[in-house]
Amino acid sequence: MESSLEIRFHGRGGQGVVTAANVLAEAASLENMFSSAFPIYGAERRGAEIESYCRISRTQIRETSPIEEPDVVVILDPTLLKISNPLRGLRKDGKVVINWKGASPSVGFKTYTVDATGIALELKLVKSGWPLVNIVMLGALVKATGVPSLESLKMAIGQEFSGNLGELNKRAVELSFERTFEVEQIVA
Amino acid sequence: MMKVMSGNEAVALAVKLARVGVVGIYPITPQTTIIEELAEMRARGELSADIVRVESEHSAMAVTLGAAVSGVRSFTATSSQGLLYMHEMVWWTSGSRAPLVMVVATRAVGAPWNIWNENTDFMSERDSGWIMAFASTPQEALDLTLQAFRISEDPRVFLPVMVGMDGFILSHTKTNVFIPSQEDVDNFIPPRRQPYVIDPETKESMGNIFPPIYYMKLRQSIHEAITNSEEVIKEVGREYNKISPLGDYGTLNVSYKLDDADYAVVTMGAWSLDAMEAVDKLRENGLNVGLYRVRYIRPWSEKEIRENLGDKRAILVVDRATSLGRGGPLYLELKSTLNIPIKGVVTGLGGVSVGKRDFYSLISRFVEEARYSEVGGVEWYYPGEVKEVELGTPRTAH
Repeated sequence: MESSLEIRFHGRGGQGVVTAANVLAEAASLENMFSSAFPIYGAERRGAEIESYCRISRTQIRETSPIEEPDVVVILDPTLLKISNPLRGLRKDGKVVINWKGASPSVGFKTYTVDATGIALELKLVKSGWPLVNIVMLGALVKATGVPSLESLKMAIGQEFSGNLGELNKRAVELSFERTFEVEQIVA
Repeated sequence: MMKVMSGNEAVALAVKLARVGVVGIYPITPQTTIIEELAEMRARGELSADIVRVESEHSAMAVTLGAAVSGVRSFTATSSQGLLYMHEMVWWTSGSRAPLVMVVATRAVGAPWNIWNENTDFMSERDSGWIMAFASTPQEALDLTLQAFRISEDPRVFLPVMVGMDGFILSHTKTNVFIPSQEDVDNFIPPRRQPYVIDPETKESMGNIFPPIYYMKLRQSIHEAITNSEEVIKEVGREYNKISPLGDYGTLNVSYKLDDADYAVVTMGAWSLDAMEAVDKLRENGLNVGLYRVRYIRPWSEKEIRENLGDKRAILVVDRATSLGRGGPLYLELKSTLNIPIKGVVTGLGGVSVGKRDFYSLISRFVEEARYSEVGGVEWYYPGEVKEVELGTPRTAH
């Protein structure tokens, strides 16, 4: 990582988009980096499009506004690519980390795919019928950026979730780290 | 110890560390997670305070005030409509010279409904006789809350303290916060002492009718307690610096790159940090600017403000609040303090997002104006794409 990293998460209400950014911020802080995590709040509804943000830096973070030019975009629900523009403002050398099964989507950026839904179902990480993909995606993010380490991520997961849920999510990031594919995109 | 936490979590932790005895609670976004966290601490057995659930903010302050006058350290939190509904009890509390602490996570006031950040709710209490501080980070929210208990209970002050923080931008942003140890906080905040306690067993009473001259004298005593609290706040701040390695509380307000600056921008709250980014960038590009962050709106430190801003060629005051028809409250306060050209900007209302690029553009344009003309007046600034604002009266036919 250079001096700082700006990550934007896209998903739907109920998927844990906010928690993903929070856990990432905690994991970065365990490596003595500065971090901040926050979502856009509105009238939260299950299934509605949600954004959250995480800044990680070696120096104090002073920006408080939403991330408009991210280094990395993490997409929890790939259907969002069709209905909105989660890639808006992504830097030219930016990365996309996406929950995706099968042949990689062509989005014009360096892309990392992981079948997070499959991993969540495999581990029975399901709540109210929804696969919990938020933490799974963090394993793929770590694979894509190297920040933070998988160990710190697992430690942060342990702090956020107690008991079996913590253990399952730790296992989930190990699996997603292993099963993330890097796809070099040809700019259309 | 460092921990990643939101502004609301940081405040709840400060309240716990201060060994508060009573918390009056009523929920309202974006403050709610403060009282939720306190209730959960109580449920886990980490907090011994009585959590008193009431039916409104008016009663939340009444309970908190009742606890305070009966000798118990007490706390409450609110936002927006809740603060307005509580308004009457806010005045009863300062008029009773009752030491207690309230945190306000700021939010726009309806109508129309809007849950997002704006400081007008907090600023609208500035005539109510409270000490009023405003945080710029979750860290500062924790630090100012802890200091608030000690300032409030100092016999030279004996007034309630209101700590404000930007709703969502601070209340819900998780970032690194240093937490002082319980032992350090215990030494920092001594056990509560007050000269009287309202108790059924004693003959003390409060809230009686005061004839005119006594009433006016009481009002003057509050006025003087507020102006004199400046020294107490600095003293408490210096003490706090000893238990927090990050602390910079020896002054009421905060200067950034002001010493050699010809022009200055004045702000309050979280976006001061975005403005600092802009100041750095403007300096790289040869503009000699600095920033002054107001941390205490009451007391209003005329001395500090004159010392830091009195020699500037002109200043730009950016408010996230309005006194409708007059401009921003900070702008009005500075106009009454300094005899230099001052321009006001009102922006960021109702959650309008204002970032470092907006500050860059506002400040650079201001310096251009100030170089060649006498600046003044108030501008309503809309960031980004909004170039023209149509201001229709909703009920007139178009």
